Amino acid sequence: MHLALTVVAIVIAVTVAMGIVGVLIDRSTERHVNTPRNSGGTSQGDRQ
Amino acid sequence: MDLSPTHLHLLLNHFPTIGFVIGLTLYVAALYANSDHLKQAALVIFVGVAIITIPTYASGNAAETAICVSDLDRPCADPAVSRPLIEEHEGAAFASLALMFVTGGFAWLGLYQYRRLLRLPRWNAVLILILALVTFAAVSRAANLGGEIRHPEIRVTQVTADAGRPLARVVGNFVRDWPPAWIIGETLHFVGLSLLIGVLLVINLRTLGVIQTVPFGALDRLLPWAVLGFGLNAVTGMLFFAAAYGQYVKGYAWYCKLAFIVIAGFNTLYFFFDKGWAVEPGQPARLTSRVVAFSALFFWVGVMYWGSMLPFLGNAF
Repeated sequence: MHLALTVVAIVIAVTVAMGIVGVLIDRSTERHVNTPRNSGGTSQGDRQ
Repeated sequence: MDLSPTHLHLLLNHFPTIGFVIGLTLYVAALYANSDHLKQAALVIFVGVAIITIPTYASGNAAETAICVSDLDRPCADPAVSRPLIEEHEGAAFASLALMFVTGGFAWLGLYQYRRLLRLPRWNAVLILILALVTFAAVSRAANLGGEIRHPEIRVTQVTADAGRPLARVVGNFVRDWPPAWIIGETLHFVGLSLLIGVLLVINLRTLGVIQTVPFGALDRLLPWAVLGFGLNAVTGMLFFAAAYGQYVKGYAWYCKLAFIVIAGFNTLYFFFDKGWAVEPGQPARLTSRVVAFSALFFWVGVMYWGSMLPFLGNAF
């Protein structure tokens, strides 16, 4: 039981930390987007 | 010619040091000249060297088992070869591999920022410079220690009995001896795998002509998730390797997996310079882009295949 809880807790912690990093990267590269000679996208930023 | 893992290590171990000298020189020159093209070239070198460092590190342990024939934790059969010195080199290489991952990660982010923002933010430019300098120092130390193993004429390092265990052995033995470590690592390895393959599958299938109504600009936003997945897999994979390298280096599936990772990594890097991102929704990608996308799928599926076959091909486990 202790083993299972340790595994779940650490896996969730690492996954959430990675998710936060991913969201931060997405946010920081979204707003000014002038992407890839971009031809549209899903966000307001991507349509600029 | 009989190419052994030791040959492979001797061939590859020049790339991290020499590659980093070239990348760092180019990067400093690019900052001085404020040239975006040179900066991008240097960032590509940083990412490329980081990818090549993975097989460089892994082949080092294979070379160790070849020149130091004895049970682990016992002196080498050949008295001219020092296991403590090999482990000191391994520890320095492990630290430089970790730094290489971080530097390569921020260099990749820099390339991504160039495409999304059309510039490299100052904070990342400075961070990459600092990381590259620290990584270069670590790689140089690892290279010097590696040279001392077989070159007594330049040997100055004295590993004393009361010195602490080198980093790679501390980390590797911890992963080996703490029961939850392997389970956590395996679970996270699959989380990373799902992110990496999931995102690359969508992007490469779009390039091949599936879901053409989805614009590349939308798929481009998913790329950092694939790289985070790759980073997670690289870290957990190297932890497994540090814990039980003796198992991995015996099977040819491990070397095939490393080769496929390197090819697939460079393949993914190609898309930074591909004009395919300019394709309008509903339009097919260029032939070159489609060929690269097909090869990307082949090599990433190959990475999964060789990873799955590790216990079954050769005598690794």
